[in-house]
Amino acid sequence: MSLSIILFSLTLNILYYVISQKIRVKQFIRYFAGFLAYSLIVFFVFFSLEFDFIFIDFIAFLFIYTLFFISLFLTMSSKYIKSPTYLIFKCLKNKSTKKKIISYLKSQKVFEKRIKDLKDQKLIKIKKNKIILTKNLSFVLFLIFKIKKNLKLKSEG
Amino acid sequence: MSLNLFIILNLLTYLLTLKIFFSIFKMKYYFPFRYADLFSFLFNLILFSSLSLIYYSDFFWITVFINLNLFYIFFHLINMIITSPRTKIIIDLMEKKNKELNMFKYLKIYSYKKIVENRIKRLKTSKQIIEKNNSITLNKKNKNSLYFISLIFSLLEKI
Repeated sequence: MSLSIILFSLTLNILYYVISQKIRVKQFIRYFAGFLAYSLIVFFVFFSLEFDFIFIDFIAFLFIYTLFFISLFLTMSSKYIKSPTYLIFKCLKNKSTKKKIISYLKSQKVFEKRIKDLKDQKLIKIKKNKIILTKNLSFVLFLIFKIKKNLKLKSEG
Repeated sequence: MSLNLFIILNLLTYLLTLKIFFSIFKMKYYFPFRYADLFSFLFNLILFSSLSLIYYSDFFWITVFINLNLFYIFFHLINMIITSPRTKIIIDLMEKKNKELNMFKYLKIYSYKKIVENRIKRLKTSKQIIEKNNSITLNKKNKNSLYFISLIFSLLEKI
């Protein structure tokens, strides 16, 4: 029972992840909205087919299903934009210097790509050389901010 | 106690232990993991798996997977807060009263030099790289983590 709930929720999540990556859903809000629609359809189909083992302990299923979703969602951001650490690692396959690494990261437009991505995600807007925070995903950003404050983390970047 | 309450208790205990272990271990690493993450995962895994074996034996594996997911999610989120440039930009914006930053001034503070220096400092602390006479090389004796990161990125690209 327990293992079938895990396998089932993991399979459903992987299926959604693969489909959304194949159709190249990059925007977090769209990915999330798509997931809600996908889940409603899947639950409706299973309910209609009286495939009810997930409904017996629905809260447990929903919790593990949501956790798998968050795990895969967090993985998604690393897929499209290479982390600077990964780029440094690539650069360091041969002996290098700090200057060379900086110019390599500049050539890879590390900063510009991130600003563009945040703009595409509609999390920021640029006006007259000013970066302005929008109100999109404000609940998620608030949670991240709270975790930072509570655990006294330093955002070094 | 109902199963739902048991799951919620697991989540709340995870958050509480994370806070406690962070205040004890701060940013100490057993690379690539922080002690705080590892200890809070192990504490919750052992406590709640044992409790589930006693009270909800059918849900033992669910409890294990809930804690594995919580470990991955918080490990990832905390890494994001500390190291991700995008998260740093967003957090810097959130810390401003008017939620605005002047791009030119900001780029002077958070520059490419800063991004590279932060990473070199972290990679040196975790003994992943060696810096000698201005030249930087990968530490071949300790190369597993960076190769592992590189492997994960290659795998992600293929999905």
